[in-house]
Amino acid sequence: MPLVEPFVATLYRDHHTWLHRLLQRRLPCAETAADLVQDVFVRLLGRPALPAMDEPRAYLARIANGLAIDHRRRQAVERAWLETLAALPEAQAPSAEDSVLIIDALARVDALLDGLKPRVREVFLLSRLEGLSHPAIARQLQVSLSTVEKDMALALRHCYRVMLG
Amino acid sequence: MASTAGAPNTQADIPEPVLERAIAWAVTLNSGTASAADRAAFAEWLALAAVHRCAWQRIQAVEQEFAGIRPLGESAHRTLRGSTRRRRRGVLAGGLCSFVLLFFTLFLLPMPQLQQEYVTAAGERRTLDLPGGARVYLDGGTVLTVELGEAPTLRLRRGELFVDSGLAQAADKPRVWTADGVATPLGTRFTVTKRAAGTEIAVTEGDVLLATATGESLATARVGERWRLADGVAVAVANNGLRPGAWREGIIEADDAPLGEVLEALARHRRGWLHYDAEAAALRVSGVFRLDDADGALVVLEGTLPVRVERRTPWWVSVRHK
Repeated sequence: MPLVEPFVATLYRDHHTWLHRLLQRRLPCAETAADLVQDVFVRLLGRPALPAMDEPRAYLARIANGLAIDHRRRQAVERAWLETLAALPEAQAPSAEDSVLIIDALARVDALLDGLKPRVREVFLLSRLEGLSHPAIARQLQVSLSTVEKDMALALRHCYRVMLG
Repeated sequence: MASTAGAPNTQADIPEPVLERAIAWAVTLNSGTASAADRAAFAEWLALAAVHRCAWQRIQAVEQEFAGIRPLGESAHRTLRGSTRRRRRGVLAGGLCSFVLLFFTLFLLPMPQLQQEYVTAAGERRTLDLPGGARVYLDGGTVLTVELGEAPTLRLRRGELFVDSGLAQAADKPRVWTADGVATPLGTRFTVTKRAAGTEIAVTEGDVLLATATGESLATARVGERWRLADGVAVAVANNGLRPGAWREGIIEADDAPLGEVLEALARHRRGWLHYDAEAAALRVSGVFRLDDADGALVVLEGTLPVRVERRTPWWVSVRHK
């Protein structure tokens, strides 16, 4: 197993230009691509050990891909949050610090729910965010109570697998 | 991997049936309809084995992610709806689905209706004059959709309304719908409050007919009464000690009201999340509080009641019994 720091330095020297070009093709903003390249290597440095790599570029691309998906998700959440805030008067807006925390928390939840069917997601959010009872959710979405219960279990199982599985 | 039978510490250590049971408990206990017997059975299950407790802790770790944004309620929900829509839009634009999209746009989307959504922020109040002469007041933190069909239909998603239907002809009197049911006024002034646990209707003049969301008639609420509509039934409940609709005058008027009710009303007039514990909620309060200074009201309450107000951030305030 290679030592982390010198190995990451070698990876950086050999592949960072290539990785930057790859990310530039995937992201509209050059600055973001450069930031994400740094993030990929910072992430590698944070690991206790790295696997021996036959194809380092495939490995780097996989990490970069994950980060690019996270980045796009966070942007989508941020824009949606700003739209939600726009419906409130200015005096109600949270501070910049609060906003960063809120967007992070929302993006994490968004990632957890990724892959769920829209109805399952809606059922779960009506329960956990708006505090509706199962009968109220069943009425609002015009589905049966047993559908609500099944969706709820499905959502929990899904989130569990994503988080801890 | 080292572990003992009593203290599982990896995913693989929790047998699938135990995990399924823990999930089933989480579903039951959050259903809003769990009985005392359910809770007792759950406590028994939890006490039975360490692996049960471990599975339950794992599920709670998942729940914690959602609990963190729960104070944002509707705003968080809207945002998460918005973010999915955005990404889905991106996928459609890039893919070969434009034909499908066109089909949906032309044939499947509902026809636009004469409807308008009104949202008041915390501390904001608003008055709507409906065609036909009825007047509707929106308290802070309220989300209302108004549909102008044969009779005006109000759909209250959150918050509180005061409806003054006095001057309107019978056909123009607005019906108020929530997820819990529908209130139909008969020459009336009344408030409708949408809460997580149901809808409350308080009548200050005339009668209001209460029915389920499917139109099944339930009861008639009369002047001076307060009713709760939830889970398909209507129950008369004790007066909560607040003068209905006093917020139209910019005040909360409490007469031996539970502190929880006063705080719920205040919460609609300040930004952020106002949490309180059950012990504090049960304390009794009399007095008049100005809504344009909800934080001042909290200071007053802190000075007169055995409570401590913890201000973690302006968005996160807790009221606890001392």
